[in-house]
Amino acid sequence: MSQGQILSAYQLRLLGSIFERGAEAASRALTQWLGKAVHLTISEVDQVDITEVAGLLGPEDATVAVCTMSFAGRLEGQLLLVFSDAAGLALADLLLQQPTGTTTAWTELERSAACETANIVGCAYLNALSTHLPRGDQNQGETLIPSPPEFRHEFAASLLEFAVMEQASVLERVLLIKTRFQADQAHLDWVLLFVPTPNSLGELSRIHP
Amino acid sequence: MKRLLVVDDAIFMRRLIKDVARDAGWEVVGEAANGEEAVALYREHRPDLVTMDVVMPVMNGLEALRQIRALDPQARVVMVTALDQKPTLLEAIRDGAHDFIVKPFNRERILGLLQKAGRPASDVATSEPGPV
Amino acid sequence: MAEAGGAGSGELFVTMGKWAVAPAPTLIRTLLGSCVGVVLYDRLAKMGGVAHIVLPDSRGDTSLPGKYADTAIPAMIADFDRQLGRKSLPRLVAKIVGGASMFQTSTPGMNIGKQNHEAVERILGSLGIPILARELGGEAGRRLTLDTSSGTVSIRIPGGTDHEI
Repeated sequence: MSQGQILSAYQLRLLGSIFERGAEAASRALTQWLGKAVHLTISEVDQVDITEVAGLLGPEDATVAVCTMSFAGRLEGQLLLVFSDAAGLALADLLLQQPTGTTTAWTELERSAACETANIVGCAYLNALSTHLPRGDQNQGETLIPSPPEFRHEFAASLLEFAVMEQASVLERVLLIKTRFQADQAHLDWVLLFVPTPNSLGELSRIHP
Repeated sequence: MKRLLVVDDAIFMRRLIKDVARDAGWEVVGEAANGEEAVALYREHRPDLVTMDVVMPVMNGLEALRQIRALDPQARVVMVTALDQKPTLLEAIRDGAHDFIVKPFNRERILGLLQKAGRPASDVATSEPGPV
Repeated sequence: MAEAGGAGSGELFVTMGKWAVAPAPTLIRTLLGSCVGVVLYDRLAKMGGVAHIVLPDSRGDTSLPGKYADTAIPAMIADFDRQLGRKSLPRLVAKIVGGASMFQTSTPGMNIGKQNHEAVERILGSLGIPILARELGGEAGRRLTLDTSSGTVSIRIPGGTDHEI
């Protein structure tokens, strides 16, 4: 099973170009949502050795805030919008139209603002993928439906481990698609991770232009 | 005064819609965080308009739309969702959604919706769905 | 030799599918989610090891012995033997940590964390290694730190403080 699901360099490039469409759609949605220009770029479409996963979000034991959404339909997996507490609270300030630094703790309202942002970014991504993914061989639905986002704090390495666990159970290299955010020429301390299930990786491996 | 029911699992989004509606002179008669609560509140208040999220826990917005329209075939329910995928949109229209707003939206889009919904039903034409 | 890095560096970090064995004074650390961390310790020799186990059963796969419970535990014991120059098994004790689940899996009934826990219990039992402490399950990740000077295992969950098991 495992060998058949390893994507070729060509398929990874193709997948990268499809995800670029997702990132463009998410950039437009987020720019409108925040009222300021935000640009999303795909920074990695790669299959990573499981022994290298722990460091993909920076220091392994850093506590990060995350809004998690699972998605189902043509593809299944997890979408994770990950940010530092500082970046997440600054986002909440921006959405609540108050000066940066006003919010110092995560109450229900700030969590909800972060999760709604994840919902908007995640759905824009999934909408674009449902349009641009080439038709598979199987007669599957076209939709990619997310679950309601959930907020939590987690260690960066533990979060990555939870996210790749299903893939790691059948593969030694796992596919993660990582998207970075930029606003005002500066990197925002946010990352969006797209982690398909092993079955969906199989579906992705059948794509062709 | 026109009466609105706001349905969204995100308290942040409910607050946003409520603020715009109140500024526009609407009475927000209730807010629900899932479809089940929405159906119960609809039955209780019979509002003039419902803004309905789609992806919610417990019961999603499409199911709540169906139940509300079964309860009241005249119910005006506007789907407000970030999910802009054709099959979902078609399902909502088939099940009697009055309109479809894609998140993110700006204040004007909600205002326009409320103004349009404030007119008698015969004047209202379903607008083109899509982001604004 | 320790797979995760050179011994004697003071602190070792063990990634998914790896293990480390080192003499005192070394802190061996790992971050766990659904994986299970197996700590082995020899109190007299003041030598400790941590394996970060991903799956219960290797089914004959030898490419990454640290990934599977049935290959990682023997490999870690062999590492003790090599570093001590004698059989370590009679003096080893164990602590096991991890096996949480954060997401519903797409395969109903598949709880890898629980399967890992059960496999580790079985293997340690068959080797006669006593399990002195366990902290497993739940929904949160754990940071595990073994102090090889004392055999103390400290665990922290996100937003919490260290506690010892």
